[in-house]
Formats: sequence, C-alpha cells, structure tokens
Amino acid sequence: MAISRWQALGLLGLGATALSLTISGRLDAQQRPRPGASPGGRIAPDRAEAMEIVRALQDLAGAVEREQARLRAQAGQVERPEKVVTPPSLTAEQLDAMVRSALGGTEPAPVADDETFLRRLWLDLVDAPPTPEQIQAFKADDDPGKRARMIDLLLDDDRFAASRARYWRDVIRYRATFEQPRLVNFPQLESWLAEQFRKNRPWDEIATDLIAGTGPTTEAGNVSFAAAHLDGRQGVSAPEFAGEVSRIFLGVQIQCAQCHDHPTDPWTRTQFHEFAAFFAGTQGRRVGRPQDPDYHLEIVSPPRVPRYGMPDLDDPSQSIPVAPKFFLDASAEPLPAGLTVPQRRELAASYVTGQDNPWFSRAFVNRVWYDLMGDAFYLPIDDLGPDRDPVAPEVIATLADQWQQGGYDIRWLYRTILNTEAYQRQSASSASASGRTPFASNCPSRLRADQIADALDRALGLFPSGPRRAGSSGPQAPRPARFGPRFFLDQLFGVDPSTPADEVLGTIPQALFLMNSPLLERAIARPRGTLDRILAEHPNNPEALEAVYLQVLARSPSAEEQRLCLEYLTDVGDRREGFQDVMWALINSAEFISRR
Amino acid sequence: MDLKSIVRVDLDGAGALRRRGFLKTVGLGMGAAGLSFTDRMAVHAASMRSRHRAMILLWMNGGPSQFETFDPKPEHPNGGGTRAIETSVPGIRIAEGWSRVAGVMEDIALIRSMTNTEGNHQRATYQLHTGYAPTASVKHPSFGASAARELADASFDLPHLVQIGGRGAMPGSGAGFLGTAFEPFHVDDPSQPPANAEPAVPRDRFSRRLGLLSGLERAGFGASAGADVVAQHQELYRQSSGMVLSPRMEAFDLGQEPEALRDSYGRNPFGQGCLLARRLVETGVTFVEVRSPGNWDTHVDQADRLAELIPPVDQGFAALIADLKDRGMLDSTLVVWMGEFGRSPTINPNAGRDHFPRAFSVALAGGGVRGGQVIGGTSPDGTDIAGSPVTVPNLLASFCQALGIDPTIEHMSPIGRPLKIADGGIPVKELFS
Repeated sequence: MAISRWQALGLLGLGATALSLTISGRLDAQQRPRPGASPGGRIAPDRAEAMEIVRALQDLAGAVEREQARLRAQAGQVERPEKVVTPPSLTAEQLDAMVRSALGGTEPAPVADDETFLRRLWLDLVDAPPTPEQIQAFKADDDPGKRARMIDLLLDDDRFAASRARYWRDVIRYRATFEQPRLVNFPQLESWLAEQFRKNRPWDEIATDLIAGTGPTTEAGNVSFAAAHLDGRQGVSAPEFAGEVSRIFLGVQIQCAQCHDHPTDPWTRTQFHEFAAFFAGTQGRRVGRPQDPDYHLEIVSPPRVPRYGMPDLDDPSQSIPVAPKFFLDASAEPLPAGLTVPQRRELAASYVTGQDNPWFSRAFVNRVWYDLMGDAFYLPIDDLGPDRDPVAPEVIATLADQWQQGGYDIRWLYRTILNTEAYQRQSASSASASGRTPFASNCPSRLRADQIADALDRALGLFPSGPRRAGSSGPQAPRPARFGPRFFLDQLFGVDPSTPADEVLGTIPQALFLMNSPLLERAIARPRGTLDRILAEHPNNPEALEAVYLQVLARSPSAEEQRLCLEYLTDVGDRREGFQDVMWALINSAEFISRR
Repeated sequence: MDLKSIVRVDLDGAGALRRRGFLKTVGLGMGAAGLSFTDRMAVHAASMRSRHRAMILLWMNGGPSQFETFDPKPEHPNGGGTRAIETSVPGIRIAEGWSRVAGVMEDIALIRSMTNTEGNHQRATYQLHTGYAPTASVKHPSFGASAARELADASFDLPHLVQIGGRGAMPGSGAGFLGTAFEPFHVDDPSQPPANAEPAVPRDRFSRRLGLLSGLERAGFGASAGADVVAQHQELYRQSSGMVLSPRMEAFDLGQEPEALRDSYGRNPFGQGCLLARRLVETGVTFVEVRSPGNWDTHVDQADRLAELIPPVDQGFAALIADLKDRGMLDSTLVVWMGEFGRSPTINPNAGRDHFPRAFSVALAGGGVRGGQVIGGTSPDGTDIAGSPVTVPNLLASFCQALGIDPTIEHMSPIGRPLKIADGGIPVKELFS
C-alpha cells in the first residue's frame, strides 16, 4: 500500500464523520480493502510503532469502507430494483420439448452412445477427455441415471471451475487493448475467476466485481478486466472498457457507434458515449518500479466527479461534455448530476446485471449454449441485439428468463442444458438434415488450447508432472510456467473464444507441430511410454488397437477402421513401428482436436 | 481502355468478388462486359503473377532515434554530438555509423517528416503495422497480410508472410480478421531450418503416415458427423505437408548461398535474416519482416547501445539493397526500414532519448520508389517537422502504391464494417516522381 503513516493518520478524520450504513451483500465482498493488508513491516523501526501503523491502517480501511458506503448511498438515490430470486421451474424435459417444437419437423439426430457422451461431457466441463478406465467403468454401469450423476459429479469438480476460469480469462484477454500482460496480471484474473466458479457465485455478482472492482491486480483478480483496457498513463480507457462491458456481458456491440451512429443497430454515437461516461475517471496506478518483482497496477475509482466528453465531429479539437445514461434504460429522467467515479461504475454494473435488462442473461445463456451445443441462438455469440432474430427465439427467451429470475445460478443452467436430449444427441455434418437444422444435432467444434494440451497429455503422457490437477488454479497455485509446454501450446492453439466457429481454422504451424514435432515423436516412440505399455499389455493386435483408440480418441475403432489399421500393420511388418504410425495418424486426425 | 485497369479493382487475390469494387467497375463501361467472371479472374491472376511484387520490412523494435540514423543534427545541441556523414548522393547526409547505407543512398528515399501521436510501444507497433490504433472490436490485419491478400498466388505452396527474428507475436503483425491463410510464418533463427518443417521420421515413412491418416479420416469421423471438419482439416494438411515436401523449402536454407555473399550481409541474425528475406521473396513469398534483434528503445546510455545496434543493420540493409539490385529484383521489391516512433530531441539525464512520435524518419527503397531523395524535414532543433508531413496512413498508402495495390480497397471486418487498407491515407507522390 503506497501510503505514508502520516497520510494514514490524517485520513482517519474521514472515518469519524462517515455514516453508518448497511451495504448489500453483493457489493462488499470484493471491494473491501483487506484490514492491515501489506502494512510493510520493514518500515517500522520498533514494534510499538509498527502496531500503531497497523492500527492506523486498519482504521483507515474502515474509514475507506464507510466512505465508499456513503458514496454508494448517494448513488443509491438512483432508484434500482431489488434483486428477487424465484427458483426456476424449467426442467430438462420441458426444455427438450421446446427445442423439438422449434425444429419445425426436422427429425433430430439420435441420442449419442456412452463413449461419445462421456468424451463430450468431460471435454466440455473439465477440459480433459476421460481415461480408458473411466470409459470402461461408465459403459459397464447399468444405472439409467448414470449420465445425470456424471453431470453432477463433474459440475462439482474443481476442474470445472478451472475450465470456466480459463474460458472467461480468454474472453477478456484476447480483446485486451493494454498490451502489457504482466501488469494486467491474467494469472490472477484466472485464479479469481476459478474461485468464483468454485463457489458457484451468481453471474451478476461476478460481473459486478469485474465491472466496478478496485484494488491491486496482485490481490483482486477481478480488476484485471479494467486493467486490460488501460490507455497508456491516462487511466482506464472509458470507451474501450465500455465497449467490452457491453459486448461481453450484454452481447450488444454498441462500440461500433463510437465514431458514428451504428450502421445497422439503432444506437447513436451519443448513446455510446453516455455509456462510456459511466467509466470515466477510473485510474490505473503503477505501484513500484518496472524492475521490481512485485511491480503492479492498482485500479482506483477516485471519489470525485469525473469529466467526460466526446469529440465534436465538426471540430475534432472540441469536446462535447456527456453525462452518463444507460442506453437500455427507457426512463426519460436524467441521472443526478455529480455522480462520482465509484458511483458511476457501481451504477453501470447495476444496470448491466439488473433483472430489468434481458440482454445480460441472454448473452450468457447464448455463450453457454454455444459452448455445449456447437451452435447458438445468436451468431456471432457476442452480437445479440437489439434487432437480431435469434434461432428458436422462444427457447432462449424462456431459458434466459428462468435463469435470470432464478438469480443467475451458473450450475443450474449447465445442469439443465446438459441433461437435455438436445445436448446428448449425436453430432452431425451439413450432409444431413439434422446437421443443417440448428439444435437438431450436436455440432462438432474445435477444442480450445487447454483441451488440446490435456488431450495430448492423455494420449501420450506429454507432461511428466501429469495433467493439471483439480483446483490447480486456486489461490495457492504456483504461477503457471511461462515457457513450459502448456504455455507453448497456448501460444500455438489459443483462439479468442468469441470468434465465430467458421473463422476458427487450423494453422500451418499447428499442423507442422502435430505432424513433425520432435517432442511428440519422442513421446510416441518413448521406450516404456504409453504406446509401449499398451503393446506389452495386449500382445494381440486387435486388442492393442482397441486400447490405442480408447487412449487417443476415447472410443473403440469401427470395423472399417480396424480393417484399415490391421492391413497397415501387416504391410509395415514391424509391430512397434506400425503402431507408432497409427498413433501418429490418430493424433493428427481432425477428430482428435474436435469435440464431437 | 486498358483491360487490366478495369479488372484490377474488382477482384482480390483469391478471385472473390468485392462488393464495392464491383460497383466501381460497373461504371467503367462495356470493356469488361464481354468477359465472363472466370476470364476476368484469369486475367487478374496473370497480371499479378507477372509483377511478383513483394515487400521486405526491416523492423527496428523499440523506436530508433532519427538523430542517430537518418536525420542527424550535428549543428544543434539536440543532435547529441552525433556527426553527419556524406552519402553517395550529394547533399544528403546521414548519421555517422551508417557508412554502408550511405553508399547505396541513390536507391533510398528518406522520409524525415513522419508524424504521429502514439508514444506507447505496443499501441504504436500495432498502428505502424496495421495503419490503425488498437481497438477491442476489430483485430486489424497487418499491412503485410492485406498486401498478401491482394498479391499472393493462392496456389503458392509456402506461407505468404514470413517473420524473421524477434520474440513471438508483435502487436498488429498478424492476419487479424483476414484469417489463417494470411497468418505469418515465424522463423526464430534464420540460420536454422524453421521449427517442425522437416518430418520427424524418414520422408517415405512420413508419406506413408499421411496415407494412413487420410484413409482413417475418410473411414471414420469424415464418413459421419465430421465430414465438414475433416474436409477443412484435410485441406490444411494438404497445404502443410505440401510445404514440408515442397522443393521451395530450400529457400530457407542459407547454406546454398555463396560464403562471400553470406559474409557481405554480415554473419549475425539480422544480416542473415536479410539474406533469408531475399531468398524467400525470390521464391515467391509476398511479405517478409526482418526484426532487428536488438532493442532500439535507448532510454539509457544510448551511445553504447547504438554502437552495438547500428553496425549489423547498416551492413544488412545495404547488402540487401545491393543484392536485390544485382538480381533485378529491386524494382518489384519494396524495402522499408522503420520502427514504431522516433526519439526525443532532448537527451535525458540517463544519456538516452525518450519516445517521440511527433517527428521521425522512415527509409524506403525499391518498388518504384525514386531513390536519392529526402522527403520533408525537421526544424533545426528536431522538435517539429518542417513541411510535407507524412502520417501513418499516408505511409501505408505509399506502400500500396509501390506494390500496385489500390489503397482504397476495403476489407469487410467480421462485424460488417468495411475497413480500408490504409485508413484513408494518400500516397506520398514525391516518392514515385
């Protein structure tokens, strides 16, 4: 904390006059300065003085919190509806019925077999394919409720939280406009997100902390979102941050109206800047010197009224003052003048996440649906409205409304979708009617970098330390190795999760890596490696082939595939060499890097 | 009416019809009306191939000082004591240390009046590569990617863009929304073969594996749900294995060059990178970026730093121009030397210079650029440009002109916003007159 003892003592005066107020639970959790955090013992010459400083800082923390509460109370003059939670009643069966009626007579694809279901579910929820043992056990289980049980098991797994954290970290990271990742601190953002998903915190609370949070990036990972849009030394760029808040949380691309009225949507340039005005004045303070290991940023909302203006198109040297107003708020009432930076950000978060705004829930439901089904109501997934026509409008409307009224319970949403037949159907290509009709089948999609890393590890034992352990991205986790194979695979295979699927194409370096990398070739041919163990265990070629397929593709080979492989093995002659080639071919197949 | 001028505007390198280009063409009259779409594509492709236009960007990461490169101020305290030397062109003087570049000045045009406002490394690097400031809503293609999209032959079996040296991705240097066909291929060390470009097993076994892969894909995933995915995947593997097995991969092998020529470029990563760039352009690559391995961000003790930074670039740059000229490739190859901004006129207390985008220098050669001239200039103290301001969009528009690309061509971004290659810039016409 960059504050002198005397400043601290002086500021105590603030606390004495602060109002005592109760703060709603959702606002305080992440905002509260930690009492006595980093008092910096090294500055205290003796214990008594050290204690005095600690006390002063604790008091200061209290004063800051009371001051914040006072400010929020003022912002509270803006009437905002209370959050009301009505437990959702929608079941997976009802959802299926709605999807079916939206298919317009197209016969949907049949429900997928256990192997396909299990690989899909594992990749979707925990990023890794199942092991051969897990596949065998699941197939052998004759409990009709085994799929629902597996869904519950994985949703409660810490790796689900870790997977979601990486996904949302990437949603933010790939559009970061402040290109100093070390200062933005994405590992801390990931840890923070993992903790929120692990606790199943409602999405509106997570979003509020991301939109309005303050604090050092080394402690509060939520502030990395604002830090990702720092504009040089001028603080957080209000237009960039506003555009991303709207795109990510509402699926509304209002930033297109930054320079001129939106070409296809009804937004005006003024509306965009009125929204950006909510984020004006947010500061990013650098703490320490660049050469220090703990050099970092602190995101600050100074409690003063910021100025915000938009460039005058007729005279670009002039700026037109703009007051904050939310573009979806239909009321004609202007907001009270004199809203401070923290008040504005809190208010923006409240407008964005509020239950009086349908886009917040739709944007999230649309993303989750896309991730699980390979197809979405709205495409691109971050461009919803307001005037787009979704596929199956009644399905997204009902699902999003129920989820919103239920208080944005993330696991409920996943559980409901995952238990539908719609999710569990076979995937199909565009050659069939069910493949051409949205939601009549599941749709193959490309694995993300983390999933490819885990799939490679599962197939080849690529990482000596084994796959990422459960909860490894929790607060105690060591920082990810910057130049390990995972870092490298992320560089090679990473894709912005908001990119439309038809634009996510493989690249030549990716193919070169999978085809020719000495790292993979060594893993395939490693004495007593995965393949050698399979070959030793199964002297019989068809059985060994079965084991290789389970290990690499999490399924058994078809009769035709078996015939081709056995023929190939005979042609090659050398059993070990032949199987290495089979393993190579499976790892280089489209199926290996696809979710199907 | 010249037929080529009609067909040039409406078709891109891949033969796709561009909406606005088409509208523009319709007004040109009946000359093209008798041609079928396919004919026009063919004419277009032929005209492009015959020109072999290409660009080599020499990127000085960190922002090189104009005072210690191409705009010395020996008479002013801001000049920092750097002397000026004569060049092969009477009247044009550049900073000491650049004697080899001085020797080929008749082929180089200097712009001393570059002016910009972006002083942040990442943002300026993005802007100088794309012509646009970074924004969250659009990932702009690099100029190289845009150029490759216009110029490259789709059947070419090596990547259209190659980056040599430097660490990893640099802001704005990728394909942006143009997609993976225009992603640059990165080479870390020009003296080594590129990573993973050689099969890990003998070539006959590699080919045998490809056959097995293709058979299994057709029989398995490709026969059912994965038909679309497999088709794309097989196309990628066709390209990638085609590259691995391509005889053109020899272009990456500097061992095929005479020792004396390798020596003339300088036996260091930058010099050998320049030589590799020439080999790649010769074989048909459209855009090569060679990054100076050193960091030109000389805030501290610049004299010591520049003593290490300048010699390899002086040698590599000069050797590249001479070599391209020898081979008759200079007219069709634009060579550009630049960084993300210039450096401050005042020397700071650490004996260095800080960021300065307001006035800086860029050097161009080849591609029809008239060498031996200086465009614009700066005030005696170097704090301002004195006449002929050149903005980043104007610079990129000039690259377009050198490569025979219409700078007003628009690419449609994924969110449906048309973006011009050079953001409304106008070519600096003195460069070509």
